[in-house]
Amino acid sequence: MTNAHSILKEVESIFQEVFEDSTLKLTENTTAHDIAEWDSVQHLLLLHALEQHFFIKFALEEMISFQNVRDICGSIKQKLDK
Amino acid sequence: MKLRHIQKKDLAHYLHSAEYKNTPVVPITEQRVRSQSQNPRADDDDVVLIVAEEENGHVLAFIGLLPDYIFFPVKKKIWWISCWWSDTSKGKTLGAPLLLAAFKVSQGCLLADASPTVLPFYLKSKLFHVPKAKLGIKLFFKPLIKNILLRKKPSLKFTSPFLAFLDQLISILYFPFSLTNKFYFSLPSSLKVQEIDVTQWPLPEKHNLFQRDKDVMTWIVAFPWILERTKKQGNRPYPFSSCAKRFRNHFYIVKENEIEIAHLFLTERNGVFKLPYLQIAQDKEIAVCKVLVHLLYQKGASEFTTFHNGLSEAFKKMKLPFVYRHATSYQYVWGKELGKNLNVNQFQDGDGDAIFT
Repeated sequence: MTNAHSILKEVESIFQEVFEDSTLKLTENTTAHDIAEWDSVQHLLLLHALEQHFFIKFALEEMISFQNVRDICGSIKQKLDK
Repeated sequence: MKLRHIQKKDLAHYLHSAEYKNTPVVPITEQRVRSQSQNPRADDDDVVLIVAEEENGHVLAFIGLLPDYIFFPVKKKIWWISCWWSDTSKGKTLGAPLLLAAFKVSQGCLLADASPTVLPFYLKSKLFHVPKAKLGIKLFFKPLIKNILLRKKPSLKFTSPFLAFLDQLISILYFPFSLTNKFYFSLPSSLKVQEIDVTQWPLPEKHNLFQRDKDVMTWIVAFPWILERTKKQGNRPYPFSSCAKRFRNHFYIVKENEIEIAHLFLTERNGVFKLPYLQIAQDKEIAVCKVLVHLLYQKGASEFTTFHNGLSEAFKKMKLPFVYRHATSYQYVWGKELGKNLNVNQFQDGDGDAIFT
């Protein structure tokens, strides 16, 4: 079983890379409204970076359904636990 | 949240579905459904609309697709992006994934015109070839300070009455001079122009990339996306054009000394004219420009735009007193799958969905 907290930390570091902001802090409730630069193109780049990091694939339907960081981490955890 | 791919054959069903009836923003109008359903270049299972919607069917983003064919270097199915919208709040992260969905549907054979607002999306996606913009010219036949300024800076809407007054004032001062335009815009006796029916439109020229023939032209004219109405249909917003006080298509044949030199397909929308299609004999640009200004003056045009190379150059050189000329550009983008070798100068102004609006 993968640790949810460690996934959040790894996701946070990917966010920091993609948004080029090493001070960026995430909680499970963080949404696109909390990060001004998180538009739909950045959303795709972010998910692509997460795919590469965790060696997973997101379906297009998943990409549009993520509402917050909790949804993203949940999907990653589910894929890693399979 | 779910992604719904709507095929040509499912459009009418979607229009009558509970989801469509309940969504606060509609992703397609009835007239676009009627038109898309009759598209002679679309197969029944071609996807024409992709919608991102909440579980209750409320639309948060959508992308419209218009199936077509390109004939370079060989006949190939392509899709034009006809509209692309996402809710600025709830749909903030949905635009690019929808573009990706459209890219998958078309297997990369996707074309679009890109406004300055969406161009960065295409550039950042790295899926599209972005050629140099096609250059054109806008002619203003009437003082339109209000329209031009408010189009560029909607925040100045509060100055609207003042700008309208300014336009009126200029019109009054300009009136005695404008009488001379009748002289400048009259046709020389060697030129004749005659309105024709869409069925008399000639076969597309060999170099034309999209080869829109009589069947396609007839469909375009029969199923416009803009309806002549003073008020929008229904009370729910549709984020793209759907109605105008006046929207007409005109077809003309131009003769010089009784010899055919051009066929014109002109569209008119609330005094704004465009030339979606033009077939012209070699070196007849000046003659066709004379015919165009004559027609535009006769029809009370306020504005005319063309991206036709030869015509733009000819208009720049022509003596047109009291007509303000302004350089403009049009940016196409296309999927890298289609290669870099398409020449934007072989695109006509009406190609894609531009002809419908």
